[in-house]
Amino acid sequence: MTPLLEYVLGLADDALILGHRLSEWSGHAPMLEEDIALSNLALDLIGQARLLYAYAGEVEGAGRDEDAFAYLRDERGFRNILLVEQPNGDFAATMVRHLLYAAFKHPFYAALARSRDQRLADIAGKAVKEMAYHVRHAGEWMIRLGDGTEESHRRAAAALDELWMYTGELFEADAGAAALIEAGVAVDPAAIRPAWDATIERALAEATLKRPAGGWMQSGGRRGRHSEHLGHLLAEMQVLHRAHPGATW
Amino acid sequence: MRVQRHAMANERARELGNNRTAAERRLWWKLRRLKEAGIKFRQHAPIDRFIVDFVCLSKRLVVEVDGGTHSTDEGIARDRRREQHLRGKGFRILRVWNSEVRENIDGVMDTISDALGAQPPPRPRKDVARPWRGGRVQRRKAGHSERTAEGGALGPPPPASPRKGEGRHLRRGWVHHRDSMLALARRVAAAVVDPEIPVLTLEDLGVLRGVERRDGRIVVRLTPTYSGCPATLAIRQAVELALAGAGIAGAEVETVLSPPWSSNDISEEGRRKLKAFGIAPPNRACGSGVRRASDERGLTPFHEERVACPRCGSAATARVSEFGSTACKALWRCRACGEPFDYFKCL
Repeated sequence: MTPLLEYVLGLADDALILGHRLSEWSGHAPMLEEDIALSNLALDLIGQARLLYAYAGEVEGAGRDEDAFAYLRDERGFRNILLVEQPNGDFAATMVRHLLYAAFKHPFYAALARSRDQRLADIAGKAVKEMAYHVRHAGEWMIRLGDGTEESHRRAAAALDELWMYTGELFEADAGAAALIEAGVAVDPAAIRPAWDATIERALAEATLKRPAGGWMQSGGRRGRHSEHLGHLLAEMQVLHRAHPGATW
Repeated sequence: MRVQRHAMANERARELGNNRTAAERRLWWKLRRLKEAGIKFRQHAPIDRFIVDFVCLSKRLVVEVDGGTHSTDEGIARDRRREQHLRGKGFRILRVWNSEVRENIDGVMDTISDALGAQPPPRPRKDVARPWRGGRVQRRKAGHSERTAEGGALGPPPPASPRKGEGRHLRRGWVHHRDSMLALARRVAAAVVDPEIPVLTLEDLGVLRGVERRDGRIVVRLTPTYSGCPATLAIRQAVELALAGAGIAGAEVETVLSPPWSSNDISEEGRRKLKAFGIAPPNRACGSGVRRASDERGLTPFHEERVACPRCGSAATARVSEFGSTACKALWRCRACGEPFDYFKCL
């Protein structure tokens, strides 16, 4: 795999896996409006993933399409960060996970929209507009839950502590990515840190939540080493396509 | 406004009926069959002191088949006077050449259906027919009310006003034929309706980025609204189907991402239609593609937007949810009239 293919797949897998996670809420959200909201957010992510997979297929040039990437790779082939594959947990955990993700991807796509790779820039140019309201939605909930009842505060704080160790991976760049950053194709994730910090700080302050201490960070998703949760997710997501290859409706 | 039938014109009409050219017979044979679709044409019909080749009174459309004589200076002047009079009566005039009828009758019929505002009869294709059926029903309804409104006095001219140049010869030789094919493709693609909001055409929505000819094929360039909008595929299929229905074979639909679609791309006409449909049109302040400073910095929690109620116009409205029945809409409520409504979001 070329560094560009790895890079594009990493972005696509992030979006697809989180999109799938959010879609698990369909029909189960705490209220109708939120059910619709989560499905909408999931659709955005899956749409972004499709655009990225289509490009990955062209970069690879081996005839693989969106479905081949989404349904016919095993756990080790996925390049998503560990944060997005973490189980939904309760509603607070889903919203905290989403804010940690969206607060990064929004400024990230804004920077990627200036990529020397025209296709990546085009995809990012669309995604950045969508991620803006992802940040807003998750941020509003973070504040409402944190600054809400004792129970909602407790749950939001617990989710934040639980998920914090997966945020380190957002800012990792391997040797392949470093070369792409050098070439002006990829975005240096370290440069996104200030924007991410600012968003998180502001939301936490309003939510009366404390930022967890740094500590040890989980890693490995970009190299295909995942938590046990991804295998279960893939089993559910891929079963139909694998049992009935090429199935459509 | 009554259409008068002059006695002399009537007589001349009968005479002409026995002297039809081969092209007229051929076209008449086709036009008669539109009756099944509720569109009635008359041949050699007298309108005041003129006799037109074909006319559909309910749609106020005149079709004239021209031979060589109309190319002379005198002929052109006569045609102009005649057209002025007919236009004054609210008719649109479509001119086709004898040779076009002879060589490209299907193209002529497509142009006529287009001018009638009626889509060509749908080709049955189960898998894609459903998503945009709503749009068709809408159109038929409009056509129906137009017909009933006519009664004795003739109704208002059809909403599709004649486009510039439509009264002239549409095709002349191969080059013109190619150009008009492109123009037809553009019109057909632009008129396809959004499957989720069937009052908006693709042109109104601002997703049609262009129609061009590439290596002999028609290429329609579309941009998606949201990355994951499920209507994207339905729109693509609807465009392909509409083009095939208009006789444009092998057309291609291409997705364009850049510049990204913005709610500012919705036309004035589109905004008006949205409002009439009960959907508040998007605010113009955002969605320009240039991020505001607050967005670059990060969070904009509980951001305020003012949206007027599309029903009563009151500004006393409140957002119920930023997400609605489709990716592009939010759910709002009017405090004045108490009605819930959709707001077409800024993007």
